[in-house]
Amino acid sequence: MAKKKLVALCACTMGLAHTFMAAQSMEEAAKELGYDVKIETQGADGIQNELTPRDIAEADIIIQAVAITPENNERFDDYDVYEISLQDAIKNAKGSIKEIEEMIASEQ
Amino acid sequence: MQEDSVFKREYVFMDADVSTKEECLAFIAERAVELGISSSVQGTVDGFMLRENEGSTGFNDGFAIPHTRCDDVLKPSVIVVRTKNGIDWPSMDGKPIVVIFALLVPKQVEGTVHLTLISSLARKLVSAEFQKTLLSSHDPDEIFDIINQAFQN
Repeated sequence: MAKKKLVALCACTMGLAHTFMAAQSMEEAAKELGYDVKIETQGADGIQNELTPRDIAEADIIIQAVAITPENNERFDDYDVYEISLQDAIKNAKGSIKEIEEMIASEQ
Repeated sequence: MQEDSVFKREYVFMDADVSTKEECLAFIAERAVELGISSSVQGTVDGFMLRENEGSTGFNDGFAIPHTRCDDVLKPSVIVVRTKNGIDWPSMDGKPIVVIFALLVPKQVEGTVHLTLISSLARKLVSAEFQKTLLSSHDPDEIFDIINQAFQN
């Protein structure tokens, strides 16, 4: 069975610290939980590791941990996007992903 | 690292005798002006406080990452302070803050190289091992080396 895929977008207000701390925590947690993972950051250094329409279409889980309205947000229009706080992304990434897994499981 | 590097040995301050967040940010702003990183103590403090008022930058396990992007900052820099005693600074786990990474960035930055360096440090900060090594070290040279390495990878 192919690995499940998780994509996420992180962006804080200033784009210097929390965007990247969140991205790192989410990446580590998702890998630990067995996902293929790709995380876009929208920070002071611009958009990095941008999620393509294909990344989004292929994803089993799409997460946004943002404190601003991200750029090119219309990419996500046709999909279920789970929003978590940057704080949860940093401090409790694994728990947050598991909660989302449970939510998805209960909807099916 | 290069002459214009964002982090240097002289940017590490040990045993800072500060007891509040405000004192600590003032200490950092004063050092920033002395080091030629910023042109104004007050402007830099105000910049940090603007961000703190949006939400404390206290992280967990004794770390805080105050940051500002303001006109008074002249070059992208990271100042690291280890306080003599833990200070009262709202954090994610309520623990007192011991090690402070201050990120200072000018409003206008040419290119993204420096910003990417700073973001690589932010990424490193979530590593429990990195935190542990930093917290256990009281040797400024060692602290410099550990952080400087974080910028390399």
